[in-house]
Parts: sequence; structure tokens; C-alpha cells
Amino acid sequence: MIYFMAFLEVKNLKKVYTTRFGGNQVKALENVSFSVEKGEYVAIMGESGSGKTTLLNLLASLDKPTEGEILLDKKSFSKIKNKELCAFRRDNLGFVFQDFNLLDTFSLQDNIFLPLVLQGKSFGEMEERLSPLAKQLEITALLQKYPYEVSGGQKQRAAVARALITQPKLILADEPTGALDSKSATSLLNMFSDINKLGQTIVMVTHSMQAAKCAGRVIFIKDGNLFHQVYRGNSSDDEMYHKISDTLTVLQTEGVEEHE
Amino acid sequence: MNKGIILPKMAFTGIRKNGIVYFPYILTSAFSVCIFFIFNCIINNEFLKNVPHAEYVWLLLQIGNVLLGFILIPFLFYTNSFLIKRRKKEIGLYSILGLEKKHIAIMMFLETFFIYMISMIIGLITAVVFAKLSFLILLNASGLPIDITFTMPVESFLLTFAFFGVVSFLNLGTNLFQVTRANPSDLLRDPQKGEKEPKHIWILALLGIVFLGSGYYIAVVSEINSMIFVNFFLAVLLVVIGTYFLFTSGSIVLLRTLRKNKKFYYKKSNYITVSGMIYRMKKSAASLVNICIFSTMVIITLLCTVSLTLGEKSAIRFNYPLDANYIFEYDKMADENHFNSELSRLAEENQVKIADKIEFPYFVVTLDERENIFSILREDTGDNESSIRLLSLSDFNSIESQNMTLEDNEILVYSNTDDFKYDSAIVNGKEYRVKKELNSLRFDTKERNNYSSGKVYFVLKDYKSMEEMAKTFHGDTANPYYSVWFNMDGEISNKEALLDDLDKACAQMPGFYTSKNIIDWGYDVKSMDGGLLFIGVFFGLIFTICLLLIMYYKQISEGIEDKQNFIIMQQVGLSDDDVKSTIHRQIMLVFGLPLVVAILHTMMGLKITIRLLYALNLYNTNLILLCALGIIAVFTVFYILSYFVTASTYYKIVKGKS
Repeated sequence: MIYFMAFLEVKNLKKVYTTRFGGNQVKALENVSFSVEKGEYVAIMGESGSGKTTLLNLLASLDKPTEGEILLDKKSFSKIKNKELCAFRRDNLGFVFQDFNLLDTFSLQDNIFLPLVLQGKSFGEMEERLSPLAKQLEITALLQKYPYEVSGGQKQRAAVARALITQPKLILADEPTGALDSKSATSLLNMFSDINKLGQTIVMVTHSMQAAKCAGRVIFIKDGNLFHQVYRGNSSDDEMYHKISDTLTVLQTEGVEEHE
Repeated sequence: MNKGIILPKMAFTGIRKNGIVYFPYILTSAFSVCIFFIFNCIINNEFLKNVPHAEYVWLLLQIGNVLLGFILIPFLFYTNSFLIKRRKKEIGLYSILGLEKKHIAIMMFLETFFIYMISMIIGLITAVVFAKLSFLILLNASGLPIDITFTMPVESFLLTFAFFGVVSFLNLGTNLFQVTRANPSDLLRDPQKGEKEPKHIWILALLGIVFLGSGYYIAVVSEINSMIFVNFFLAVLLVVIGTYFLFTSGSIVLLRTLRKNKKFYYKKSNYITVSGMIYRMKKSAASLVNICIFSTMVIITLLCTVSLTLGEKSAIRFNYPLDANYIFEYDKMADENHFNSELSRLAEENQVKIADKIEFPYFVVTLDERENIFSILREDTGDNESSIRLLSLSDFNSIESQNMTLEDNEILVYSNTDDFKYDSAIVNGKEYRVKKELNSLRFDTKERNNYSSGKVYFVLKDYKSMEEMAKTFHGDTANPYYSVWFNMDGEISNKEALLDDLDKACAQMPGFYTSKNIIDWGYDVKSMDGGLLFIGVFFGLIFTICLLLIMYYKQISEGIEDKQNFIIMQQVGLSDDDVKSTIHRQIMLVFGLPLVVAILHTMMGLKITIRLLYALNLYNTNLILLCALGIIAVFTVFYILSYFVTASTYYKIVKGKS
């Protein structure tokens, strides 16, 4: 399936934070524009403090940009009323977090059901949606367990299931492999690739080249600006890894100031 | 830095950094210290044993002090358990960073010691300031003379230090036990773990039903007799235990059932509430029980206190339909008019008007009473021993302004408790027809609920028949008495002076037997009721503060725990309005249930409470019921207000920036 019009459009995004006493202004994002096609798998990379998290929060509609606009499926975020934002997030976006953010009060199954319950879906429908998803993510046997009873990788798979179960237009992942061992990380990334192949749009913020190399495109952010983009094209994961590595080397050596 | 400095410093910052939970804890302890000390001071003041009418107050305060200890210990334990749960993560971190168990123990000891000292200092300073004041309030409430010097005995200080030292030590022991036994990673994770669902839940539920049922049973069926106070405390104890079991098991069974009902459970409004409550059901149950019990105690304490205050006058008047009563041995009296002329003279001297005077001779006969058969005391009389007062028709007619007539074998009967009911009375084989059962007598108020001073009166045709009947029982030792009742009108000090003078004059008169009056009785009643009132107010205050603190701790600790959950849920798509409505639903359930059960407890306890008040001569059932209604209404309003305050605190914590 090929869509020709941009699915997610980010136009001239600017975000300025004012310190508490109103004195200093900190520019988190200066001017960022890019677009994401439907079914794309995009990784956003950058150093700490480059504005990645700010960008993700804006994409997640958890925060509002100072200037600029974000459109998802032709709908501008700025046109959504505050009250409807929650419902909008619930219906259109799926989140995967670095530290899973599962609720200890719920079993894995109930954690996965949470967004559906908030949508007011019937129990039958919830079960219908869960069973293929659980099979795909290999968590069927774990569904009745509580988060504190399973491993990190298993938690993250449950979190992915929770993100996917609403069939969102866009999955936003914030360092999804950050808290995982390499084996779990690899298996999670494979899972992301698989669901992407089924047509799921994914935007992932990450530090890890290992994670980024799986994406179809990598966007590099530096000091609040879009620095560079790397397209996979027909290259393999390893070639992609080298492209990313080269770009990061340039990213870190260029500019007057030395970071780190 | 030297370890000798860093540990106290860590202890101190530990307290300061956790101010949101330690500050109320310190306040609670200080408050407990203050109350405990004041109680103890008053008890240890010598004068209370010497001042007339004060023995009731002293006894009641003594009981109150012991009760206070019993209430404070579990309460301080309970609040402590909130604190240690919160600290576990931090202590686990310390131990990972290299603090040995020994150091942690020292640090925790220092923390406990600091808190102990701070609470003692705040509590004792407050106590020293307010002890005198509350002492004056006590004297005023119980009508004791105010101009008494108040001392603060050293032993009260020592006892307070010792009592709270032991409680702190026990708390420290439990904390150390919990902390040192677990390994650091357990400590770090401890706050996350859900509670395990208890096994054998049906046994718990059954025990709960048995305890609660027997508590209710005692409360409903106990009759007014000398066992009423014992029964009351027994019922309270059973209800407390029963409530605990039933809340624990009942709430878990209920929540499980709710969770199994998919249609109900997977609804936005129920989902978060039910799962959150299951997650910490045992602790919830403990809080709910405490809230429920304290609510019930506040209501019952207030009920007794308010009823006593409002009913005191009528309670005093109950035993004294007329102000004063003088009794003489009739056959030793030289002249009936001697007393009357003395009375008139002294009344005039003291500027008091005498009114409603009645006087009459009567016999008291002790006998064996079975149904309507009255006979001479026997070996096996036992519980059937009773006494009967004999009056003559002419005296009765003049006292009651009536014109009754009687035949030889006819009598009038009056019982000041339950009705006599029989048509005839067989007295030592002779049958008398009961011409009429009287409903009232001017000098003895009828009250069916009066168990302590039941009296039966026979009105006979004339003095000669009275004498004959008395002689069949007591032979020549059947001595008649002569009783004079009257009301007084004038200044209270004049009345007291008159009664004093009269008592002195009577002591010189031949045949003077005894005298009693409403003023002395009033002091006695006031002293007892005042002591009860004082304790009631104090305890009402303590219960209320315990209640508020439990609510506060519950909400604070849960708010801190739930904060992360609500952040996650908002990311998943829970709107602000949903958060608000979820919180309100959760808190309403948590708060509503104990209130409903507390009101139920009060309803079931109402009967025994009324009987308890009967035992204090407060027979105005309507007044008590009205008080109960009013207090439940006021308490509900107060409860709802505290609900709103707590809910907003909880909301603030949950919504606060991390």
C-alpha cells in the first residue's frame, strides 16, 4: 500500500521554555519540519538535550508548541480542544515507554485492556482484539500475571500490546529498548519491524544505533534543529547501521562547541 | 565526614524530607502526650480524693486514663505502619549505598528518638498551658468548687515519659524487624507489590458474622441491671472484632465478585476503582475498620454526652419530685408539729418559702413476694425478697386531693416501676381486692425502665389496718415512719442554709431518722455526669482527631502511591475529568461504606445506650432518640466535609508535578 500524501506533518515546530521566574528562555526546538508517510517506520536520534523528548511530547500532544503546527491525517493538533485531547490521544496514538509504564494494580491483560476500557468498548470486543495480538507478541501465557511478576522484556511486550490494541494511527515509542537486555531488545525490535510490515506507522525516539538501524528512516536532531536524515532505501540493517554511525560521527564533530 | 555526625544528620533529614507524613505523626504523638498528661495530672492531684462529691469523677477519670492508653497504643502503631512503608525504599537505597544494618538501626533509633523528644516537648508544653484550663472546665462541669490549687505532680511527667517511651520503643522494634530482615532489593520493590489475597476467606467472614452477631445480640437484648456496663463493653469489643473480620473478608469477597463480573468491571468508572482497591485490600480493610469504629465511637460518645447534658435536670428531678424529704420514726416522735414549727421558723429566718408540703405516716414491710402472694421471709426467699410501703387512705386522699373509699378487704396499689397488674393481693393468707391500680404518686415518680429503685405501695383503709398488716410480718418490731416532703422557693444559698439549719435542728428532735434533698443529690449527679461529660468531650475529641488522621494518612499514602498510576493512565488517555470522577468515586466508596456501617452500628447500639442512660436516671427516651438523630446528621455533615478536604488533598498529590 502506498500513500502519496503525508500522514504526519510537522511544520516549523518551535518550542521555548521559560524558566520559572520568567528570566531565561531556553529554546528546546528551534525550527523542525518533517513529514511521515503512512506505514513508515521513523527513528529520531540525537544527543541528550537535543530536543528529542520535547519533540516526542509535542507529537504525543502532551505539550503544545510555541510556534508551528502538527497535522495527523490532515487534522491539526492546534485545532483540537483541550477537553478532546485525551480522547484524541486515546483513539489515534499508541505509546511505548522506556520504563514500560504498566500499572501494578492491574494484571497484564487488564493493563492491555485499559485504553479500550477508557474507550468504552465491550468485554467481548476487547477479548477478540487481544487474542491475536497476544499470540503475535507471545504473551498469551502471561496475561493473568502482574507486572511485578514478569521480566522487563515481557513487560515491554505487554506495553506494546497496550499501544497496539486500540489500532492507533501512529505508535510513538520513547527509548523502548532503553531498559532491556540485548536479547529482549532485539526481539522487541524485530516485533516493531513485523508490525511495521503489517502497515503500522511508528515513530521512535532512541539513543541506540541498534534500535535506529531497524527503522526505514532516521531523523537526526541537533540543538533543536533537524540536522540530517538517513533513508534506508534498499540497504540492509548492517549498511543502515554504518550510515547512522557515520552521521553520528559528523553530528558530534561538527559545530563550534564540543558536547560531552 | 565522621560517622558520629552523619548518622544523626541523616536521621534528621530523613524526618524533614518526609515531612508530609512525619509532620502529622509528630502532631498526633504530641496531641496524645498532651491528653495523656492532662488526664494523669488531674488524677494525681490529691484534692480529688478529698473534695466531697468528687469520688465519681476520680473513678471515671481513672477508667478513662486506662482506656486512653488502650486506644492510643494501637493507634500509634497504625500510623507508624504508614511511615515505615514509605521509608522502605529509601532505606533499601541506603543499604545498597553501603550503610550497614547496624548504621541503619542507629539511624532509625535516632529518628525515633528525635520524634519522641519533639512530640514530648510540644505535647508537654501544650499540656502545661492547657492543663489548668481543662482542669477548670472539669471542675465547672462537675460542679466542684473552683478555688482549688492545681499542681502538676512529678509522677505524671514520669509516667507520660515512660508510657510514650515504651510505645516508641515498640514501634522502633517493629520497624527494625521489618527493615533488617528484608534484603535491599526487596525493600526497593516493596512499595510496588500488591497484597496477596488472604486464604480461608470464608472462615474470616463466618467469624466476622458470629462476632458481630453476638455483639448486636448483646446490645439488643441486655436488660437494665447491674451487668449493663459490663455488657456494654462486651458488645463494643465483639462489634469491633466482628467489624474487622467482616470488613476484611467481606470487602475482598465483594471486590472479587465485582472483578469477575466482566460487564461491571470493564467499565471506565469501575475499572480503576475496583483494581486499586483489590491491590491494597488488606490495608484498605484495616483503614475502613478503623474509620468505621472511630466514627461509631464519636457518635455514641457524643450521644451520651449531649443526652446527659440536656437531660441532667430531669434526671436530678426524677428522684426528687419534691425538693426535700425528712423522715422520723413515728412512735418515737414526741410531737408531729415540732418539726413543722421549726420548719416554718427556719424558713422565715432564711427567707425561703415552703410550698406543697405533704406529710404522712407509713410502714415499710420486708417480705417474700411471688406474683401476687406476699408472705414472711423464708430461707429460700432469695431473689423474691422485696419491700412494700403501707399508706392510709386518708393520707392518700389528702396528698392526691382525691375522694376514694375503701372497704376492709380492699386496697389501692401503686408500683413506681412495672404495673402490679393483679386483681388481688394475698398478704399472709388474707386476700385483698385491688380496687384500683394507681398511675402516679406525688412523691414517687413512676418509671417502667427504672430497675434500681423499684417500690410498691399499698393504700389501706386506715392506720389501724396498716398497723395490723405490718404486725403480721414484723410483730412488735413493725415500726411506722413519718415522712415530710416539701418544695422550697428562694435563693439557692438561702435554701442550702435552711437545709443546714433544719438538719441541725432535727438532730435534736426525738425520733429523727434521716433527711435527703435535691440540692445534695444534684451535686452528686453533677459530679458523676460532669466527670462523664469531661471524659466524653475529651474522648470525642480524641476519636475525631484519630478519625481525621487515619483518613489523612490513608489518602496521603495512597495518593503518593497512585500518582504514577494516574500519570500513566493520562498518557493512555484518561482525561482530567475522568481522573476527578474516578477519585471521587474511589474516595466515596472508601468513605461511604464506613459511614453507613457506623450508622448501622449506632442503630444497633442505640438500645443498650438508652438503657445505659436509664441506669443514670435519664428516662427521656424521646430526647435520647432526638439527640441520636441530630448527632448522626451533624456527624454526617462533618464527615462529608472532611471527605471533600481529603479528596482535594488526594487530588492535589495525584495531579502534582513530579
